[in-house]
Amino acid sequence: MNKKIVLSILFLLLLAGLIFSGDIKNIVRTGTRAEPETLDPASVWDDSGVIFTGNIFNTLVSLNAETMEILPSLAVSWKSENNGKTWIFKLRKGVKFHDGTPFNADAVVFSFRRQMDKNSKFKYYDFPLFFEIFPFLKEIKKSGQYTVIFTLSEPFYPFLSTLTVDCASIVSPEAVKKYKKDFYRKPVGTGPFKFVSWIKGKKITLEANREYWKGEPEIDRYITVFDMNYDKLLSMFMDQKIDILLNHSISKLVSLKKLKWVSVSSSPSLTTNFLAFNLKNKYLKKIGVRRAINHLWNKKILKLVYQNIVDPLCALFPKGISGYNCNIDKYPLSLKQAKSLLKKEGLEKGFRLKLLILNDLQLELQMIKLFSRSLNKANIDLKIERLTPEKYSKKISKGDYDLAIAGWIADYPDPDSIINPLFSKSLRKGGMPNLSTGETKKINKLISEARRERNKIARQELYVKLNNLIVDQALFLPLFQNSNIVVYNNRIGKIRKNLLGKIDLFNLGKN
Amino acid sequence: MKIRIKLLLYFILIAGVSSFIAIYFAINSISSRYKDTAVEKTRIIRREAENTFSEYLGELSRKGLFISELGEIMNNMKDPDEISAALELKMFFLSTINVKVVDSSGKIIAFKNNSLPSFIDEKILANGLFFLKENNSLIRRTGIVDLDGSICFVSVSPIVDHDTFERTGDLILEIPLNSEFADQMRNKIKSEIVIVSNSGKIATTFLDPNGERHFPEISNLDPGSDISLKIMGDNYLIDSFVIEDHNGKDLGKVIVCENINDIIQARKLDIRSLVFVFFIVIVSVIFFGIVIGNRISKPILILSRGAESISKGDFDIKIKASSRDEIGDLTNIFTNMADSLKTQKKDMEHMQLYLKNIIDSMPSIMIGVDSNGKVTQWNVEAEKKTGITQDNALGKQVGKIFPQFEKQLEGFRKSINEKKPQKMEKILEKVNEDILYKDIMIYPLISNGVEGAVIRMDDVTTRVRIEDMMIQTEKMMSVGGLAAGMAHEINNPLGGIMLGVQNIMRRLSDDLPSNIEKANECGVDFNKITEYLEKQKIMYFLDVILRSGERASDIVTNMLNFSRRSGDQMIACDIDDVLDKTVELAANDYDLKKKYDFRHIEIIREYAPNLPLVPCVKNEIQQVILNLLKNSVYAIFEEDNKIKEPKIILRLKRVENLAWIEVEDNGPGMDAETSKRIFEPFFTTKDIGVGTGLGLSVSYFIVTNIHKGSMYVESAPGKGSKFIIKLPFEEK
Repeated sequence: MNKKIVLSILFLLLLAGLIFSGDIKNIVRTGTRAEPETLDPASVWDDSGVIFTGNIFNTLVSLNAETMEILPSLAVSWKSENNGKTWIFKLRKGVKFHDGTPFNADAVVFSFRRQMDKNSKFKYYDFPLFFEIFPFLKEIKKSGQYTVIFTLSEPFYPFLSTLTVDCASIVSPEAVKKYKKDFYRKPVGTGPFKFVSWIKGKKITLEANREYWKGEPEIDRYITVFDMNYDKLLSMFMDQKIDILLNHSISKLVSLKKLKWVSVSSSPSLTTNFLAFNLKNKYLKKIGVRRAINHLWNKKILKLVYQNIVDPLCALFPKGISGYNCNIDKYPLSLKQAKSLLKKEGLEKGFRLKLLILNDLQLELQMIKLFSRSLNKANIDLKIERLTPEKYSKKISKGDYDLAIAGWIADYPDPDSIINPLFSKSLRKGGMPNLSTGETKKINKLISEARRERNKIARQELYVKLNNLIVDQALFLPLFQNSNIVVYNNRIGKIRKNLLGKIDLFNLGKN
Repeated sequence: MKIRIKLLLYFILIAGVSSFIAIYFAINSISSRYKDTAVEKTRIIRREAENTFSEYLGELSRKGLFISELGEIMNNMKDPDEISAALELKMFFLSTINVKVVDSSGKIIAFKNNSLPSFIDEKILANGLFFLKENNSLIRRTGIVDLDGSICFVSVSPIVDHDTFERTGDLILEIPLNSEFADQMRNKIKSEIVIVSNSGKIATTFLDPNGERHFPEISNLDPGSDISLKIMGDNYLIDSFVIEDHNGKDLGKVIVCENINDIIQARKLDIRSLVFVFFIVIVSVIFFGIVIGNRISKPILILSRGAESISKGDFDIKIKASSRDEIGDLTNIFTNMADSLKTQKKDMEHMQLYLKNIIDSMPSIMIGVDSNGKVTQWNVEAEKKTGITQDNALGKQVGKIFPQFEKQLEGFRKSINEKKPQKMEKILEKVNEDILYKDIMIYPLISNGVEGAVIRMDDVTTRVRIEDMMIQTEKMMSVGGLAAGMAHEINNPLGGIMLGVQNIMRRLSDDLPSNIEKANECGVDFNKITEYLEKQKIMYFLDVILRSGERASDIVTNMLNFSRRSGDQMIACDIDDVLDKTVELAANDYDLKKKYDFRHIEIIREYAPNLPLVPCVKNEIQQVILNLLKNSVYAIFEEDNKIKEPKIILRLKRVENLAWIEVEDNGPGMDAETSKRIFEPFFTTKDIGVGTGLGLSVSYFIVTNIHKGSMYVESAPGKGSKFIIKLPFEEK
C-alpha cells in the first residue's frame, strides 16, 4: 500500500512539474529611440510620451481612433448650457486610481486646477500646453461627488475635443500630493495600464490594470526599451527580443517587409511638416521672397527621398483635418516665376539664408540638400546648420534663424489644434518654430472667431479662409504629412498608431 | 529473510522503480528537450536565414540607391563608357552582383556581370519587369523574380537627374540565387543551405568528398517541416521558408539544414550520464540500504542476541537504546523485561532453592516419579540413604534404584491413575544384618496435566522401636501394679518357707552340738541320720527349696521395684563415683565370684572430665549399672564364647544436656530379635532358673520412668553390645 502511495505521489509531482513549466506572462516589448521627458500628462507634448500617458490616464471623454467621434470615458454624459459657455459632466462612478484612491469630481477639479491656477502649489514644473488648449477655461467646480461644471469665458466649439488632449487627463490628487515634483516619473491615473518603473535611458514598464473600469487588458505587461542606436533596436527586433519597433529606416523596410513574421503598419498622422520662415529676416519679410521659395520647392524630392511613405502638403492642414485643401497648388514648381519674384524684390543677384535642422533628421537633411540645389538656381544660398535639440530650441526661441525644419502634430482632430499652436508666440518662445514671427493680428482674430463658431459649415469656411490667407501670404513652405509607421511582430496581433500618434494598448491582442 | 536484506530489497525496489520512472521521464524529457532544442535551433537558424535573406534584399536596395546616386552615373547617362568605368571602380562593392544600367527606353547601355549566368537581358526588359511599368516613377523597387526558372534578387533604382528630378534611366542589380549565393548565406548563418526553385533548379552548399556540389533529395519537403535527414552520413534537421515574389507568388524555397550530430551526441552523452546516475543511485541505495539496514537491524540483532542469552538463562544483559525511535523503545522495554525476568528468575530460584531446601531438609526420602516410574526428584535424604547422587538418580527407573519397589510398580501406576494416595507402613527391610522399618507413601500428583507421583519414604525403625518400648513399659507398668499387690502376699509365705527350710537345714547340720544331743536323746545316732539324709538326697532337696525360695524372693523384690514409689530422693550425684562404686561392688559380688572371675575382665574407664552432677537415686543407678555389668560378664563368660581379652568399657560423656553412660563389652553381641526384646520383662537368654528376666526391664524402668532418661542398646552378633543410658543433668 505504501509503495503505491509513494509511486502515485511521485507520478503526480512529475505531472505537476510538466504542467506548470509553461510561460504564463503575456509581455509586449517596444523599442524606440525616443525616450519621453515626462509622463505627467500635463507636461507631455510629444508622441514619445503620449503613448504612455494615453494608456496610464483617462480623460473625461475620448476619441474613436477611426472615426474621431467623441465617446464617453470618465464622464458618462455631458451637456452644454449658457450658449456653450457652461459644460456639465456627469462622472463615472466606482472608478479607482491605480493607487486605490477613488475617482470623483474632486480629482477632476484638482487635475485642471493644478495647471490652471497660476499660483497652484502643485505646479512643480511647467505645463506648456494647458493655456494653448484651454484658453477660455474660466472656472471648474464640482457639483456633488460626481458632477463637474466647466465655465468658459466665451463659447469654444472644439471644447469637447480639447478634453481628449493629454493635459486634460485626470490624475490622482493623492499621488500628486505624495510624489510632488516626482509625479512626472511616478504617474498615477485610472487608465488600463499602471506605471511600474522607469529606468532612465533604459526602459519604462507598464503593467495591466486588472481593475480597469472597461475590463482587463489582454497583455500583462508593456515594456518600452530605449536605445538611440537604431541598428541595435533593429537587431533586437530581428532576434524577437522586442515586438514593436517605433522607429524605422526606409531602406531597412525593404527587408523587414519581406519577412513573414513582421507586419508594417502605415497610417496617416495628423502632422504637418513645414519649413518655417523667420519673418524678422529682412529677405523673408518680403512676400516675394517667400513665394519664390515656395515656387522653387520640387515635390519630386519627397518621392526621391521618402519614396512613398509621406504625402506632400501644399497647404496648412494635413489630410484628416477639416480645412485640408491640396486641390490647388498655388505655388507650382517654376524657376522662372521664382526668379521674376525675386527680381521684383530686387534680389535677383541672390542672398543667403540660414536653415536650422535637428541633427538626427537624416532624410530631412537629404531633402533640404536636394532643395538647396533648386534654391541655388535662383541664387539663394542655403546655409544648413545641424543642431542638437537643446541648441535648436534655444536658437529658435531667440529668433536666431532664417529657416527651420519644423513639424506639428495635432493634439485633437480639429483644425484649431493645428492652427492655434502654429500661431502661438509662446510656443515659439518655448523653442518651436512656427508661423508666428510676422504680423498675425488678423489671423489670430480669425482663429478666435473660428473657435467660437458653433456652426460647423461657417467654422469650416473660416478655416478655409485662414488656410488661403496663410498660403497666399506664403507664411511658410508646407512640406509633407507623415505616416505613422509601426513595425511589429505578428505574434502580438494587429497594431497601429492612431492619427494622433497614440497606441491603444487596451485593445492590443484583442480580436 | 533477515530484516537487513528485506530492507535492502525494499530500498532497491522503491529506489529502483522510482528512479527508473524518474529516469524514464527524464530520458523522455531530455530526448524531447533535445529535439526541441534542435528544432528550436534549426528554427532560429531558419529565421536567421530568413533575416539574412531579406537583409540581402535590403542591401541590394541600398546598393542600388547608392550606385544610382553616383554622380558618375547620374551625369553620364549619355556616355556608356564613363558609366562602365564608374561601375568598374565600384567592383568591390558589387561582388556577385550583376549590374546593368538601362536608359529610359529600356536599352542596356552598360553592364557588369559578376555572377554568371546573368538572366536579365534586353528581351526580359522589353517584356517588362514588374517595376519598370511605371515609367516615371522615382520609387526604387527591390524584389525576387523568377527569370526563366531561375530565382533572382533584383533591384531597380531610378537614375534621377538631380536638377530636374527626372528619371533618366534605371540601375538594375541582380543576384541569382545560385550555389555561390547559398555559400554566402551559409557563411553568415553557419548552416548548410539548399535553395530549390519551383522549376526544379537547385542551389546547394553541400559538397561531396570530391568537392563537387551535392544535391540532396530534399526538394519535395513541405516548407517549415521539422524533418531529420541523413545527408552524406551526417544528421541534419531541416527547416525551410518559402521564397515569394512581390506579388506573393511562390517561387521556391530556402531549406536550412542544421547539422545535429553534436546535439545527438550530447543527447547520447546526457542519457548515458543519466543511466550512470541511475546506477550511482542504485549503488548508493544499496550502500545506504546496507548502512540503514545495519542501523535498523543492529539493535534488533542485539535484541535478539539478548533474547538468546535470556533464553539461555543469562539475564545479565545490558543493552543500551541506541536511538529514540520505536526500536529504542523496544530495547528499553526489552531491557526492563530482562530485568524483571531476572528478578523473577531470582525469586523463582530462591523459591526453588527454598522448596528444595524444604524437601532436602525433610528427614524423609522424597522421590518424584513420572508416570513411567522414572525419577524426577531426588532429595538429599534419598542421596544419604541410598548413596546415589541426585545426578545419577534422575531419569532412572525407581524400580532399579529400589528393587523392592519392583513389586509395587503396579501399585504406583494404579495410584497415579486413580489419583489416590497409597500408604504402606512398616515395610521391613534388611540392610546387611540390620532390620529397618520403613513407611512408604505414594502421593499421586493431583494437578492436571502432570502425571507422576511423589514417593515419601520414612525410616521408622526408631519409632517402631520406641513404640515397642512403650508397649514394654506399659507391660512393666501393669506388672508393677500386679507385683505391688502380690509381693507382700507372696513374701510372707515365702518367708515362712525360707525360714522353715533354713531351720530344717540348720537342725540337720552336724555342726550344731545341740542337734547331736537331741539325736542322742532320741536315741538315734546322728551320723545315722546324716547317712540317711544323704542316701535320700534330703539335703539336696532342701537346698533346692531354699534356692527356689530365694529366687522367688528375688523376683518379688524386683517386682516391688516396679511399683515402688519410694521416698528415695533424687540427689545430685557424681556419676564417676557411682560408676566406680558399682564396679567395686561388682568385683565383690559373690555371685560373680562364685561363677566368673571378674578380675579377668579388663575394665576400661573413659570418663569425660568435669561433668556436672546428675540428679539421680544413687542406689538405683548403681543397680542399673551393676545389672549391665553382670549381663556383660555373663555374656563374656558364656560357655561357648571364648573371648580372649574380655573387656568392658565404661564411658561417661556429655552430649548437650544429657549425660551419656555407655557400657560396652566385646562379648558375643545379640541378634536384632534379641536386642529388640531385651527390655521386655521376663525375657531372658539365660537358662531357665538362671535369670529372672527382669534385670534389664527394671533397669529400663528405672532410667526411663524414674530418671526421665532414655536407654537403648546397640548390638550385633559377634560385635559386642553397647548399652547407652542418657540422663538429663537437670531434674525435669
